[in-house]
Amino acid sequence: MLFLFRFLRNNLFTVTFILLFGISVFQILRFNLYQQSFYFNTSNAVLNSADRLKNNVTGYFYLRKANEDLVLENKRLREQLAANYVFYDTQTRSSKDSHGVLRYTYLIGRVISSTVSSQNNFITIDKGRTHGVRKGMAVLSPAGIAGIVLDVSDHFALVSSVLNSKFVATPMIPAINFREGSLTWNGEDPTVAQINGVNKFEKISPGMAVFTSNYSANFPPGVPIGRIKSFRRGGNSSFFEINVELATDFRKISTVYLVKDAFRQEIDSLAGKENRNGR
Amino acid sequence: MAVELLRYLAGAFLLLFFQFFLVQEINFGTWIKPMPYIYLIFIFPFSFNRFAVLGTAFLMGAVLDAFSNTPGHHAAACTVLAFARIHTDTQLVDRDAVQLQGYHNIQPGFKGFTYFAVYTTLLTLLHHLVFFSFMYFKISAFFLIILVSLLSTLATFALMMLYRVIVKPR
Repeated sequence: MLFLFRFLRNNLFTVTFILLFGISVFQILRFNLYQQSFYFNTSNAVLNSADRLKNNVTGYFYLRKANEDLVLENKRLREQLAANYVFYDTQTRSSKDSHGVLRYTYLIGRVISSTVSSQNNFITIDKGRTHGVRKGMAVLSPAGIAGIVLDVSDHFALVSSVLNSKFVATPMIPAINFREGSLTWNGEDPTVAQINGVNKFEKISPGMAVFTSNYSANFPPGVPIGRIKSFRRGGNSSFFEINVELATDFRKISTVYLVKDAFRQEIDSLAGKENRNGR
Repeated sequence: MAVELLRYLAGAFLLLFFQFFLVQEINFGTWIKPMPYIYLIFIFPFSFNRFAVLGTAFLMGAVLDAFSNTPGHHAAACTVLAFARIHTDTQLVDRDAVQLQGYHNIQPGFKGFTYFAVYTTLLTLLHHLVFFSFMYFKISAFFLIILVSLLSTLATFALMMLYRVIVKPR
């Protein structure tokens, strides 16, 4: 015991260093292993007020880009209006689900902060629990997908953007009828994400449009992800390595839509039941 | 002493402000992520309590972590940097000679700019290696970590020099 005390006294500085370093590493590991967002709760209040201040200044720089995005989106939505379609068969209805019940509703959020330079990038938005935001909700930008809600406080939400090493979505390439695989980000270029799982024998070409798949758990089907930029046959693998140019520019993102899925709870409980039965 | 402490506190605040509102907002490119806020750890005088230096470095990292959604990364890197700096100062630097020339820490005026630059960049590189190792956190990114650390070190050094020009050291 005496030896321990003497050792501690003689090496107090090194021990302090190891202690502080240990605390930091513990935080890193906790975040990396369990993907918990506990860390973001602690500093939410300070964080959001500082980010807000920043956004009040920088928000003006992107007004023109935000406007252009909204105009483009309006055009796309106008083209989808029912009035543009001719229904030959009275039995055919364009419905997203079996009964023609509205499944997805959207909530508009303003981006307070968005990073692109880190390995794990986040978007903070000014809508929270009081506005009906829940963990796991899909987040879209006017141009395409943006991310998934990771953590919610009363008035703010933290979104894990596509540019995050933990983000995964299911892509769909209609041109080759491909709708599985995964969309991830390798941490290099903030404008380019990667698709894995496309068989080498598929005929793909640059410029093909990529959307979210109907197999996707979080995202509504058919939301633009981007276009194929380049692809490569990886050595021994039987899959393509595909780079996708993202539709969303995360450096200039200013408005987002949060997707409320009316069936989410039902699907989750069903999946939970299946898991329990599977065990 | 209290005035001195306040001066360093103000410096820490200014550097964090500089880092969070300016440097992290500018996109320098995929490989370059400068962190000039660590300049604070370089300007502590030799006479400062080493526990205080270590604690301040940790706190400063933790504050920046909280603001930039990187749990523990900055705190770990800053703690290592502070520890390494204190050890370098006690083992490798002739502190008496520095203080005889009227400096409180390593300055370009001590043994010329090259000495200062090597001292600063090597310690900065250590900080960046720790930081990016935790950020990428996989073996396959080994060369990527080294590349990003090297490029970022150069950028950090340049920005620290810029900061020195703007806020003149006494």
